Amino acid sequence: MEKLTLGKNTLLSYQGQLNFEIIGHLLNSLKDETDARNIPLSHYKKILSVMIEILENVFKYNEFFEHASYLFPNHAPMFYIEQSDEGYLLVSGNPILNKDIEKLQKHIDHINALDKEGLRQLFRTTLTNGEFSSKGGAGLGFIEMAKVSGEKIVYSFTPIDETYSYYTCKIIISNKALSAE
Amino acid sequence: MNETLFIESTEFTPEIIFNLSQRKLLFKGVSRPEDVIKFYQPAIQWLKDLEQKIRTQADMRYSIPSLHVEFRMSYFNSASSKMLLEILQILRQIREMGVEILIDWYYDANDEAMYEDGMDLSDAVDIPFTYHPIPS
Repeated sequence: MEKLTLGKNTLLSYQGQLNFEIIGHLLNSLKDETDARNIPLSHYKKILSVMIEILENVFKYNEFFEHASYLFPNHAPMFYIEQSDEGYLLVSGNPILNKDIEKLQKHIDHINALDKEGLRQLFRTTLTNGEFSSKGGAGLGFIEMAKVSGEKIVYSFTPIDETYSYYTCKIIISNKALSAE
Repeated sequence: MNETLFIESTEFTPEIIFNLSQRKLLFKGVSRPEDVIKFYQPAIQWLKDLEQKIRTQADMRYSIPSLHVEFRMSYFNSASSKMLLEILQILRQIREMGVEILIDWYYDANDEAMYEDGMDLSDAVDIPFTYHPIPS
């Protein structure tokens, strides 16, 4: 596990394999960092809920590293949070199987097309009718992130080789969303 | 089934106390278990057993006129909300057999999202909650 040097506006930054314990460790770091910077509790809670969903998505996708460790030197999972005048930016990156891209892209595009009320409706129908995936996901993570964020989810897929691409996901928690209480 | 179920809280999982003689159920703390289905299984089984007992033993309906459920959660991840709904759905079955289900949803007054999570669950299961903002 390798920690990157924190810039002035970087709340948290991590690169390396993610597991349940490391996520716990990163969540504790967030608490320390937001306390040290006097970030309001209401901001902390919003960052926390997006951070958990975004990291759990990466974590649930971890398994294939066992047979693709060659990806590691240049394409390890990463995560960081930046604070700016516009709000907070949470970014995750991880390798993904090319064959899974289309499904993921469809899912995010569907969520991005919805307004606040649409997201609420989708959350409720998924909560009621959704099934757990084999990876233990309830299909609610992206909807939850979009609800908190109030902005579109920004994503990209950069090809690595014929099997994998590097997937980046950016969630903005804007000042608008932070003051919407 | 046992009269009581007690699951101690951890850094990642909530405290759960079910006490049949006091007619009280409590969920308190944070919830992002590594294996969410496994973590909630004992609570779900306990409630399923209770539901079956009430359904098959008529006198149980009179000895348990009501159940008081308290949620004092500070955070739960989206996968946990699915399990909480499953728990509430069993409570609704118990309610349909005539047991009054009283649900109190406590949340940090600054945490609008936790209030909304309560409303989402209440709507999804179609049982009214009583909301209690806790001043922070």
